[in-house]
Amino acid sequence: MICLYCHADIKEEVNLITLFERSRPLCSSCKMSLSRWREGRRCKFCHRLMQADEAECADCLFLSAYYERPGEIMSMLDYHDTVKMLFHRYKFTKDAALAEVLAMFLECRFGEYDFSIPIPVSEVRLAERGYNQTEMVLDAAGVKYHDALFTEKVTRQSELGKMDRLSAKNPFRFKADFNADALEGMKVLVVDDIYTTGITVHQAAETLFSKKPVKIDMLTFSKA
Amino acid sequence: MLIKFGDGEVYKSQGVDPVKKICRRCGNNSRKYFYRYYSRFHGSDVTYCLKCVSIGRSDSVTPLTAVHVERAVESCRYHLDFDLSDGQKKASDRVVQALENNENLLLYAVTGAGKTEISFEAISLARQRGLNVAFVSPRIDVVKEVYLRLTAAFKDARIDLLYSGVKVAFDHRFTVCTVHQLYNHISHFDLIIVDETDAFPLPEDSQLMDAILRAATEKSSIILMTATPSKRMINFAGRENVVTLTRRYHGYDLAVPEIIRGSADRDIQKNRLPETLHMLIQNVIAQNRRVLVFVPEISMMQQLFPLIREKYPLSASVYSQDHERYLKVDSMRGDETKVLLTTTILERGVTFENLDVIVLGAEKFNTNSLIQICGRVGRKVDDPTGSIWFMAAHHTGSIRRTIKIIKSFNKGETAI
Repeated sequence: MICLYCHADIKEEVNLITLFERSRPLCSSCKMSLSRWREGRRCKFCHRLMQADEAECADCLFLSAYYERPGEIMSMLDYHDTVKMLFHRYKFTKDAALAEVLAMFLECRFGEYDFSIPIPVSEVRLAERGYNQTEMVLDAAGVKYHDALFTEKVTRQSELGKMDRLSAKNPFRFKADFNADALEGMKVLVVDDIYTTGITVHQAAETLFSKKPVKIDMLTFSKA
Repeated sequence: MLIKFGDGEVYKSQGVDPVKKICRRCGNNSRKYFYRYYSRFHGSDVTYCLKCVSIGRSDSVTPLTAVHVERAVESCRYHLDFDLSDGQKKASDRVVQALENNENLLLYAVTGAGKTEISFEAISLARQRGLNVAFVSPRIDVVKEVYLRLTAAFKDARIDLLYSGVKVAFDHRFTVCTVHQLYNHISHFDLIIVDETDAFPLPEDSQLMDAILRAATEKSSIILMTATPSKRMINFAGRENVVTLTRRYHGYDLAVPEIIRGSADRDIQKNRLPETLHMLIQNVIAQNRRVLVFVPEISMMQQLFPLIREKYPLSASVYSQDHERYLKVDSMRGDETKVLLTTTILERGVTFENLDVIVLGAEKFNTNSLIQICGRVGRKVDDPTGSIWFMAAHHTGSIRRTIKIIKSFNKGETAI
């Protein structure tokens, strides 16, 4: 077996413990370097690395002025160079195998939520990439989710500035085949791949909040 | 011809043959380097090649398409801040001659000979004739460094830069890239210069060697550059097409390593700084120089580093997956780092002033690595030599060969 990140052969030591473990497609040194978090003071809510002179997280302050605050934001990986390269390969060179790698880091109590809802990608992006990068990780981890939203947005988020993203109207709408009213009084988890400014997930949450769930939490694979 | 996804005419109806398990782009046919998954979007299984996925995915559901690029003439003048040494000048003439005769050439030059600059004249000529040029290396660090030097010298040229995750593309006529990127080029380049030909993984990976040949046109010149040629490289160019350069550009001798018998393993395992190592480092620091300490394994480095750090706060350690590698290497050029522990990742491509080198467990390194490591010392005119210590538990053929090769270089001879 090879490591799906570095493609080197995995030579795990066989002992009584590892013998019965499911073999993982990631070598221990890649696992170590992917799970590293950069040192520094972070925002307790969105986990962003803060400037020395920042009393409160500027991003969170900014978002709270425009959007309802979610219950909790969870993030699996720090967005350092190794993780950045992983997402570059996973999203832009279509290295779909990396979904299995990301799925290994997925530690979230999905059972506590009534609905886990991944952020959708547009038809154009889907045709280009061939998969929804968020759903594919959930699939690889065997997590049940609801395909509740759709988007017509095509411009890459990474090509837009913060104000552009904000001024564009909320691109997320409920899918016709999803019974949105069922969200009322329910606990919802929104799942996305990368949390940069947070505007994307907050927009999706805004759409979901309109159906009055009791709680919306957010899970992102990586915090930029 | 250039393979470009979603552009141009169909070159192969599918990138990967999922039954035979062959990648039509890179030639991979080893089963473990294919990944298959069910794609809801395609409504079928998709098999793709992991070997070359970093340059865009070659898979079983997408055809390989290719575009043709017209050749074009460019004035492509260059400027150097210094004159080539006589040795460099002669070698440069041979590269030009190889270009004229569509021959391959092996440039066998000592570390610090100034190999890159030797290729400039031929590159300039080729571009003036409208020939496509590629400067490639297996190592990303080398590619980055060479790109900086080429853009500084060829001020008006439009140079493409390609390596995993980075793409500065103009018109594909003058490209600096990793060897892997050549998988996307078919009969395209008339002059290909391969720097650090002996570096991992090029000698072991015959697919990569094939990629170079496939990227070259029928009437082309492939110039291999190395300080440690293999038999295969010599055979490739032909014995009469080997140009040797045994002097560094500054004219001084290469430093010859000194061997210190003894193993540091036990001390390190018991969390003690080996006394000999301590003395050597102390000596270097006392003379206001800096030192690279090569360690055979990452695990050993992780054990040793705290021990060094305790005695020498101006120290750091690097390995290939280290995110702060470039920062740490830079800090070694200033005054923040005096002792830098490293794996073989820094065996080539780096230059530090006032540098000495210690190799721990030298018995575990091969000749190519040892020669490159010795080549880190004395690369500047202001500091043309330095000390090299091999700490070895026992003597090995690799150590013996290294010293023999270095000594013969100094006598103006080569080992082939």
